[in-house]
Amino acid sequence: MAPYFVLLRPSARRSASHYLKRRFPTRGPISRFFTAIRYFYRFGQVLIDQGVIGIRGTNALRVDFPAERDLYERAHKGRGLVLLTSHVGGWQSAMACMRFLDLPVHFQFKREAHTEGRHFFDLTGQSDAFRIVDPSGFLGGMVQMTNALSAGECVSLMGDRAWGARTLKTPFLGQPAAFPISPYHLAVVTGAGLVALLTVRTGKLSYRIESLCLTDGLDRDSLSRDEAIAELLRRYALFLERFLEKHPLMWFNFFDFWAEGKETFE
Amino acid sequence: MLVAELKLEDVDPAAINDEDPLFGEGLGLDSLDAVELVVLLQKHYQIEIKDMDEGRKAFASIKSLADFVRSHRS
Repeated sequence: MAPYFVLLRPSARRSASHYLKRRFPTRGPISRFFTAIRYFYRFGQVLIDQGVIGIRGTNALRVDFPAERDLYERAHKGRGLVLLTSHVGGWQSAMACMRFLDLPVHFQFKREAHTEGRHFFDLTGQSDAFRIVDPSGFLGGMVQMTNALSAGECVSLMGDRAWGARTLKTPFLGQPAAFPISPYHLAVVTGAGLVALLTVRTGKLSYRIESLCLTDGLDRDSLSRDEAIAELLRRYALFLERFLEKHPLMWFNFFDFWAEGKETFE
Repeated sequence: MLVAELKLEDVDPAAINDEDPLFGEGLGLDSLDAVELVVLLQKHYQIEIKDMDEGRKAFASIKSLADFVRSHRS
């Protein structure tokens, strides 16, 4: 799979290069070429895991989540919780183990754009635990998500995919990058907590979830709405950056976040 | 109230036509403004938009939103 993407799909290699050249700025073209092979190899391992889990169910999956108890308690505070996921490791695996929360999780998910994810959730019987919110639906699904948070439930959004929503630039891997602001906007306006979840593949069908509550210590009273949103985004980008320092080949997001003119926050 | 709560600093309330669309053209709101609008309805009027078809009609214009609030308060 890795040689196929690297050798026969130049568009895939170009898409990956946006991230790889910023994560490995000192590497030359040859070194970066071999890094790209290893990168796609890691991606292939995660895709195969997802296929296996889709067939055998989540019992085949080993997930180490040190902050599980903490997340459960945060989710049951009754003020709603935003779970911020990213295209890191096996994010579907992270979501698959969220059933322990014992609360509905409203997951913003563009089904047609994520065929593999759709099959994953359907085949593993997770659909009942998740309420899928289509970002291309009425007002991007924001009404359902706001209702869910007001009811003390959980919503989950990707922190590194905008779906056409407003974005804001923040420093990321040495340059300003445009990230979607809807997760932070939801948390700030509704008063919900916000926890970022990043998943690293530690072995065959084995994952560990690293988490950080981004709203901890945020002084909501002294910050304006826009300042609070910018601060939460800055914290997320820093958390993701530190994660990628440890696990550089785990961010499977083939998109140019650093392109000029991407910011759309007013 | 909409202008103040949604922080629409460049909008003059007097210039808003009751029939103007709230989203897209008209007042120019977007999906994130909808979050504030939903919270505003919950906070000020204890009204929740549960049915998205109902929400679509309510959020069509200032007038339809006012009608929606009125019908749920009576």
